[in-house]
Amino acid sequence: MTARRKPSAEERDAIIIPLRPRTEPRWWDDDRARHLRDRPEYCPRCGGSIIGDGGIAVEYWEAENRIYHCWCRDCGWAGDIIRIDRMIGHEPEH
Amino acid sequence: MLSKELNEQLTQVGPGTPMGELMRRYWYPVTFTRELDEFPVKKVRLLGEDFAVYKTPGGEYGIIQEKCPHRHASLAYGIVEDCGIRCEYHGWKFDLSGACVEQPAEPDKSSFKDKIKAFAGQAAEMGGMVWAYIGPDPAPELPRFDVYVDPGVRDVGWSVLPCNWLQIMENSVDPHHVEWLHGAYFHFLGDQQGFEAPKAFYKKHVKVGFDPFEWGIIKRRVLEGQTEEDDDWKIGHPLVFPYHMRVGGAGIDQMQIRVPIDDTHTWTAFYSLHRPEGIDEFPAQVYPYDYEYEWMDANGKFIVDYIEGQDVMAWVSQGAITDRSAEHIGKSDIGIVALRRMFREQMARVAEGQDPTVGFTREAHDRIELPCEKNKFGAGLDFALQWIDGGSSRYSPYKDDLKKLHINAAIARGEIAGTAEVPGQ
Repeated sequence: MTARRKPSAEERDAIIIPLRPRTEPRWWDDDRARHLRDRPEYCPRCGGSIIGDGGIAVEYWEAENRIYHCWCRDCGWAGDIIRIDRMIGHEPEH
Repeated sequence: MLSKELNEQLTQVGPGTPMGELMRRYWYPVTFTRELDEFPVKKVRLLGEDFAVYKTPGGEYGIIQEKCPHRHASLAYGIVEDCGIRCEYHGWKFDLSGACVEQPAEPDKSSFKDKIKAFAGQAAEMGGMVWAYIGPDPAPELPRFDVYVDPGVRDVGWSVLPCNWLQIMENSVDPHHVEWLHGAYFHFLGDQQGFEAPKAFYKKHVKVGFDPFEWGIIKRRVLEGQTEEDDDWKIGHPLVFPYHMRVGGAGIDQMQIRVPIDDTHTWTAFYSLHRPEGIDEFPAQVYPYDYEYEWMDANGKFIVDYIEGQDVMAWVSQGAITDRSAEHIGKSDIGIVALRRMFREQMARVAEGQDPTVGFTREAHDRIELPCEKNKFGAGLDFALQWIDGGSSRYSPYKDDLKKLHINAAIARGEIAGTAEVPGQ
């Protein structure tokens, strides 16, 4: 190992990469907009809110599918809701 | 992906925020007992608030708001006395509950002091650290987790990291990172720099699982060549809600601690208890060994040629507070999804005036045993030595003593030949 100098507090903070404001579109802007547009707002069981203070909706991806893992504060229901664009079944082996 | 608002809610720990209110239901280590024996008062910052933590001549620990209610001078420079602390500026004295009990410059018959009360939390010692509770009364029990109370040799590497604590906790429910960050990346680095990276972390994950339990989430994995009968799946190891992770193997048990100092700084510690099989009597320790582990080199680059340094790079390089409204997580990240849900559930309970149900107890107890696999990655003496040399304990001034302890244990077990040394001789 090479000799190491102890970093100062300023250097420790400086390692944070500053987020520069950007004006040009970023590739994930659409995903962010679709997240806000498509996330489930109400519990499928009781109709309670699952956004805001009501619960949680976390989006994750599985291949092309966008999956919202949801939990309802009102009734405790939890589960995955999948946003699909096309109904595709499996293709038999041939 | 989360909404921007939800990301803020999950990461902000200041007073009055939903997460801040949840986090104030738990005890936190804020200093080492050694430090207050060296000087009896110290400034600490916890959950975005500043405090003075102190030890009285009678051995009681206290924690009080840093600013004196009189004219806001710092009580971290106060005079520690029996049953409390006195402001150095004008002599106002506060007892352990924060009540003002003396105002020497006021008229003798004045009742002014009776209307003054500083905010004071509770403080207690466990495992060589001073723990603080700054939430509403009554305080829950301080959970006496096995690593903090069991016999063994204690070694603690710590450092303050400039990032939000939640991104560190999310790493604890992300098993796949092990084979890449500590496996493939370590090998890549070894090839570039001419050293041999440990092979134990290179195995492919076949299956991962996450089970909520009373103390958090048990993380399980099946690695290539393993089955569900192996410890890594059958027992696993837990994220201990809300800010610990428990790991272990090869006679080393460790709590990884991530205390939110504020939204963008986290006190991290790798608290290791060395107690290898074959040794029953351990060298006496007045205090745990504690030292600052390094994660940045003189050029301002992350130190990535050891396990914890690699983790720190991944945590801190995400930014002070990672933008989860721009993330793209997949099926392999469901542990993170489960953790976010657990936080949201517990936040909701606290917002409704209830106690959390995870990581929290009001029952008096002596010891809490946490589930943790023993046979980790085929652990043995080599694994223990690799852990010491290749983890944060490589910065321990006592690492040679730790290695000797494990070698002696291996001799006592008959695993290697030699003559074991008796501790203390």
